[in-house]
Amino acid sequence: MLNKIFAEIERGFALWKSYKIFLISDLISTPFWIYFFILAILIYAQHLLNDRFIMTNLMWGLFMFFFISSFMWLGNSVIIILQQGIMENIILTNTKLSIHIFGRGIISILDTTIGGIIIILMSYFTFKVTLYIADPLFFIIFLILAFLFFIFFSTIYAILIIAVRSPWIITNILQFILPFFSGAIPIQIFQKEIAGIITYSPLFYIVGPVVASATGYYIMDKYLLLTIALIIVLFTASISNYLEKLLIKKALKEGKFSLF
Amino acid sequence: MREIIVARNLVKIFKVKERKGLFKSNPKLIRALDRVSFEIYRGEIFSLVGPNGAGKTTTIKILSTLLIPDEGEAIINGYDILKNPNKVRESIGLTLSPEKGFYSRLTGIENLVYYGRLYGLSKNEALNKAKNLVELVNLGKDAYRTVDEYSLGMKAKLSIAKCLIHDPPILFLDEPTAGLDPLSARRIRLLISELTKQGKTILLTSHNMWEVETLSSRVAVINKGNIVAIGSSKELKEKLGLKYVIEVEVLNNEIKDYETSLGERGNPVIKMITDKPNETLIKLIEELKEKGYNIGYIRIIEPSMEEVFARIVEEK
Amino acid sequence: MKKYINQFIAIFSVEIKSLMRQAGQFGFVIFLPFLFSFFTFGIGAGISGSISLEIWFYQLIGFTVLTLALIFTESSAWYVREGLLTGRLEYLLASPTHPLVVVTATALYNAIFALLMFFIIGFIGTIAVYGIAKILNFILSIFILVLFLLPMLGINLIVAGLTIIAKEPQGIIQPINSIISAVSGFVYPITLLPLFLQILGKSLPYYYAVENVRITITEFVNLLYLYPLPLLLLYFLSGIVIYRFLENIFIRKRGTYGW
Ligand SMILES: Nc1ncnc2c1ncn2[C@@H]1O[C@H](COP(=O)(O)OP(=O)(O)OP(=O)(O)O)[C@@H](O)[C@H]1O
Ligand SMILES: [Mg+2]
Repeated sequence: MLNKIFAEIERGFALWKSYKIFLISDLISTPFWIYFFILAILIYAQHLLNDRFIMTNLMWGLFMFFFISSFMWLGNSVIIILQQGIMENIILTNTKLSIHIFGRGIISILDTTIGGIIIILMSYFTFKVTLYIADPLFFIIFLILAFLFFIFFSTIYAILIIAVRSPWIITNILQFILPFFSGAIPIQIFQKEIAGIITYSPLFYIVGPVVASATGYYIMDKYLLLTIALIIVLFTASISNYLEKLLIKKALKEGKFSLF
Repeated sequence: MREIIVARNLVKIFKVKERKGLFKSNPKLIRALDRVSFEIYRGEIFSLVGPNGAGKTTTIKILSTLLIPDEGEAIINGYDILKNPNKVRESIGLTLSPEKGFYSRLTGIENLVYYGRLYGLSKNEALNKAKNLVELVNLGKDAYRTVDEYSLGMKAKLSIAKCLIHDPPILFLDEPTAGLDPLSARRIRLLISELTKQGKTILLTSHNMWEVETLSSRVAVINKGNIVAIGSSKELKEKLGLKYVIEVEVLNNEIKDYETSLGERGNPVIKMITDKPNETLIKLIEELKEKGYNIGYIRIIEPSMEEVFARIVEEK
Repeated sequence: MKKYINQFIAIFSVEIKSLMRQAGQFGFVIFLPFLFSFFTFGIGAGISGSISLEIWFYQLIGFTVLTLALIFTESSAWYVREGLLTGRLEYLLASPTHPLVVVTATALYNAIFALLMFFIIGFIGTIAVYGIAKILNFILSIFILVLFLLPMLGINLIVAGLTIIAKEPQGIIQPINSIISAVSGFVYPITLLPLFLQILGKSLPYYYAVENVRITITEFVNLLYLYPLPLLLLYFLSGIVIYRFLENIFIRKRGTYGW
């Protein structure tokens, strides 16, 4: 098991090294996306561009957006292993799909780290906001939980979109929508009613705490948050596990990888 | 136990949609396999031949647990494909289409090590194994290039190396030489027969009848999802009553009692058609000796597997 | 000519067929600009506490044109990639099909897709905000949009050509997407950006496309704003030239697609 995970991580690294173009593409695109998001939202209240509290929250929100988007593309990449006939070989080695995705997840982590650094620099230089991490220990803990959550989440996502002809359209769209549902943008900066709606999303208890531990504005007790996040991770893991079994079972029956 | 692979009454039905125009579609059932049964013995090369769409790949996928049969059962290396798929997977190496199944941005070695570790080898074991295999399949320095630069032959070699990375006793090779040039194909064939000497059992499909005949100890002909004939190539020929041609060159000019034609060297040649070549030949030679004729060359022309194939498939 | 038409129809009908079998996807894409505009509307209203339908409409049209611009810009790249993966592209190149026929067919399919999408979303949005008062303007804006699809097609070709070299469209498409989205003033006034980004935005066709479409709906066709169109057509021409160049140099001469 551990051996398999290491094999997958190493493959992830090897691939990452060979995809230098991704790295460059990330470095170029990240600052533009930052502009796009901040301005698309603040067109409604342009004076807030100078509000430190709002800007700090939005910037950490963006960081989580990059995090989520990176994992959506991770799920999307499973299509490629299907097209290249790698999936069958992986099944033959008795390896779980989520372990396979874990390996590529290493790319996502590196991506997000780069994004984070760019966000901090850009906040400082173009929006004149200095970003701090208020609660580093919990920030790391929540980040790791979020990583685990999104590994399973991408697995589920991959399984759901596996039969779609152009999954990139869906991935492109969802990478924008999901962060909003996730509490990436802290709910404190919203009016009460909208904040209320967001609290129903399970993603809120995974993504929200990362931002909260960075900004220092927790919406509830952090130990309670930790417990809830843990439960959600376990729950997602079991769903991912179940769907994967279902997918493989169907594939073995019909000779095609698709849940539907 | 002599049998290492047993397939019993395998049935596989695919549900497909027949598209009619833009929106309409009719559901249709394709009976890809219709009660397929056979046994494969330990250490033999067993070939599955048949026309396109006959069900060869489907059979191999079922035996390698990549497809679940609708009916029937199969035992691989003592494990049931349905009850114990994990053990079956450990016992087999599989190549489906050689051009697929690898990370194109990784090198051949990296791909092998990757799969080796997924099969549970440690990193060093996998690397050592991979290096040996690369030598075995004669991939050489190419193993250190990325797969996206490989020719078809290199990919075929890499596929076979991948099959062997966890040292399974059984190999399933689906058209391993398809599309290869004669020399590359010969190397793969040499490799295959080398592997049986090391005790591997091999299930092979191929459209090259000559290859099938030279490599395999037994052949099954599959057509429209049915096994229509099974046995060694000699047995199949005899069963079909395929005739051998015997040619005996006679060095004397005047021959009575026999019909002759003019041979390559200008001497008369006696031709006889028979389904029992050995007995007929011995009898003929004794007769000729008694009558005092001098014999030049002797040749037995065997019917080819291609003929067997054509007979069986066209008959049905 | 007849040969070209036949080839064209062959490619076009294959694409349309695959699209129709994925009707759900089309619905999803139509849904998108609504989602985006509602979300920024929600967040914006949530933060500022005030509601502005004009800004919502401004962003709805902006997101719609953005979505179709991105689809229009990326589509050939993904087509190329899928073709490379499945080997279809090599068959196409090997067949006596002129690459421009391939491109035109897929572009037309994408244009129909894009215009259908714009029509449905724009119609709903215009009715919702202005009633039937601006419907005629809206219909006109579709024609304005068609004009601006041509320069986008040029960029589409360049991206496709780059994909052939880079092998991995995501690496090329992501930066291009981000630049187009950020600097073209789709969903906020371009003046909020630093000066050099404004200049970048104004040298690409997208800014003019979205601004003209919006102005046509809210005011009327204004020839003053259409002045850059002839210049923008250079994108179309250079797109064709660059694509042909990349295809020739990097595929036919090097003999490998790198897959
Ligand atoms: N996943 C699938 N869905 C539907 N039908 C399938 C599927 N896989 C195979 N078939 C059908 O099953 C039949 C047998 O196919 P199979 O691939 O086993 O043939 P084959 O003997 O390997 O042919 P070839 O010599 O061309 O490789 C064919 O009619 C094929 O169309
Ligand atoms: Mg086959």
